[in-house]
Amino acid sequence: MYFNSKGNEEVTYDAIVVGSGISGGWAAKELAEQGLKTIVLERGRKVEHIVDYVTANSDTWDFPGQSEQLSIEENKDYLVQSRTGYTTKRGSKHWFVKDTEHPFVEVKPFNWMRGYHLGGRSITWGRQSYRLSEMDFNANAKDGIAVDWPIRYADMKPWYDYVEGFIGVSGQNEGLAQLPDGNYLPPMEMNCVEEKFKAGVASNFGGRVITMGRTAHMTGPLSHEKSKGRGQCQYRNRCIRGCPYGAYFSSLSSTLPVAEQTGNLTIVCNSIVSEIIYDPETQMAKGVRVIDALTNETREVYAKIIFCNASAIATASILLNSKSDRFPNGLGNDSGELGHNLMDHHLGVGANGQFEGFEDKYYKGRRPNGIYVPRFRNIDSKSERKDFIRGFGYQGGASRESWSKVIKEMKLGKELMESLQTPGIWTLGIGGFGECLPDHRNKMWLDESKKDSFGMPLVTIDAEWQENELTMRKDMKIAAAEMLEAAGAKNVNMFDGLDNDKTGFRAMGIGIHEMGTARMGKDPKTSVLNKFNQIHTCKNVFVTDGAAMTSAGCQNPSLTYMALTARAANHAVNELKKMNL
Amino acid sequence: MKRRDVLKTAGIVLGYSLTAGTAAAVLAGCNADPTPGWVPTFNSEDESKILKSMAEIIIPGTDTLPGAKDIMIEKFIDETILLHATEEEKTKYKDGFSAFIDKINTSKSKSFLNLTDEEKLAEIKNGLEGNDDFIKNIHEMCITGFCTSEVGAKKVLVYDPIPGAQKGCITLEEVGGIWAI
Repeated sequence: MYFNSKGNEEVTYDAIVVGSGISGGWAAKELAEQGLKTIVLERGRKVEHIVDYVTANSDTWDFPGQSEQLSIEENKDYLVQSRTGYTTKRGSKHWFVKDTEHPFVEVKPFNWMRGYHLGGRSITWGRQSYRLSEMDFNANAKDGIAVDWPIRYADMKPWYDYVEGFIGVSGQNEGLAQLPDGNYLPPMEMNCVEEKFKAGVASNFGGRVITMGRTAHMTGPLSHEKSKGRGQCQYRNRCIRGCPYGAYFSSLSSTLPVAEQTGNLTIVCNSIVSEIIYDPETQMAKGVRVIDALTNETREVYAKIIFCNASAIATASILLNSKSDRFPNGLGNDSGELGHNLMDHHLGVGANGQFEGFEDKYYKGRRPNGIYVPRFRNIDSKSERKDFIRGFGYQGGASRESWSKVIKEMKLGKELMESLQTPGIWTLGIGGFGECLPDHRNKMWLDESKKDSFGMPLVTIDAEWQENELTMRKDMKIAAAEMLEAAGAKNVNMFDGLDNDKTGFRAMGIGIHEMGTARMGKDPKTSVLNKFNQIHTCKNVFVTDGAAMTSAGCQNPSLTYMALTARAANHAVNELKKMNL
Repeated sequence: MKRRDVLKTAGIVLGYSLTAGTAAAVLAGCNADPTPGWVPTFNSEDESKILKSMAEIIIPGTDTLPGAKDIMIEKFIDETILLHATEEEKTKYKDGFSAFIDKINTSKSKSFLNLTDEEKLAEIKNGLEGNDDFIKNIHEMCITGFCTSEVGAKKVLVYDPIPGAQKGCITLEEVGGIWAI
């Protein structure tokens, strides 16, 4: 779709939403549903729900070379994106950018995973959905680090309720202070070894809870009628390719169709927002400048309010690139914090082990989810640690060894045929997701001396795991092994992916939870956004993606972005009604 | 795989019929792979025959189950090396293959293809137990190629592309084998 620029009227909307991923889709839905003429500007290609999930039903034998792995030659385009080990397989590589086409600068290794297409990373996200708790919103104040969140759990609770109800989250309430209960569809089932692990941990560690992962999948009917095109999870676990049943939440299955039904939504793809245009007279933004990704032509689009949902690093880069006499260092950057305090979650550390018995037991369905060990460190005086602050959760699961066991066992001939008839031993593994502190040293900025093919200065990232994260990891490894051993596992093996990580594959960004680059706060001198995600000094610009985060918690963050977005969008509509914007 | 069934299931679950465009997308990948007149690219034709023969020893099938003879395992191996091996790995593979052929030619005074099945089995077994990288590599590729093939997945393993439900704990008997995926 192209703009026709016959006059400002045709490119003037009530609201602009930059980006169509998890938070952009929510902004579009909330704003359009409340009657605002809304335009979504997506830098990538158009994707049609279901139709464009071209690998959704592909089996290994449908792929070249009968393998999901890209060839060495093809992989040369994805040298950063492939570092996770799972993003750029044949089933999902079209959801990730070619690094050769979209360069950035790594001062230190940083795994910046990007998907430029309608729906963004909502198509490929991990779908784990946890609330932050009061102790998370209070954490910076308690520890006296960075800045205090300007909101508390009570501000967010109704919006978590609302978002969960709309998208559908499957899970189990546990009544934990550190991981608030939610509005859940039925939980998925644990297998027998996971149940044994759960019981063993509870009885050996004073009732420590293990719960089923909370995931944005439909395991039952939604409580509303707005998403009739969505079906229930079929347990194929091919989510990352796009779900033909619309069973998990994505912008394409959930928010954008509802926004479109209002008649108030315009979506324009291939539209790279290069900057936000500041109007010194009104002291607000009047619109955005857009580069057409196909023609490189530049256009302007105007609106009363602008929602930035391009993802943490991209949003910060747009703001940094929005320079004016009033804001010579980037829009809203009086504090100098824009681009700083980049956070992620550190992972790839934990333990696994074998469980004897249960030879006559198995499971059915490829559960797109795992078990979850909620945080148990630094949640009360009893669990306080001297060596690090904050905490971590674990995600994991148990399974029986599959056919690959016959390789390890060096079977052949008749023995091999027999062995292929019975699954192998049970193994269970858990991997930690640790909180990362906001640290001014962890930052990204724009290098004006280097430009991409659209003439945009290159994003440059200089961030690394700091002392608290590295100290916490030691405990994450040992605590995992302790639980496994206590629950009766044999041959317990501890792992830490940062050991011998010369390639930087486990460096920051690997959690794909980058956040914090335009943090919320109470004071414009030390933060970029206020308690409703408005830029302190340019109130009609809202940032509600990961950039807004003041601290990271150890929970997967997307649900919080959704709740922040819905809350901010409703505030924006109220402010517009009051003629404050 | 019966892709029409996939479509039917999708229609039932979603409660609406799929558009032609959707059907085309869901059906994509349904190409049969008859590979008439396929010839190896990386391996020589003689090497390809040896690979096939080794695979049939490693995965012989049974009276009721198919084995390597029922798929084009030599094509899988050829493509695996071509697409996924580094230059260094390719050289190592070639050297390993030559050494294997030479060793049998010298010790048995005949080529691998002319050995009896028992002799072939013994050679492969010795290689595995002796930690021979080439034999271990072939063994792994044969098993991977077979278990990720349509025949292996559907006839030897238990293939269920759309489970529809999830059960945490059931008896192994109810499944009756190893899940293919």
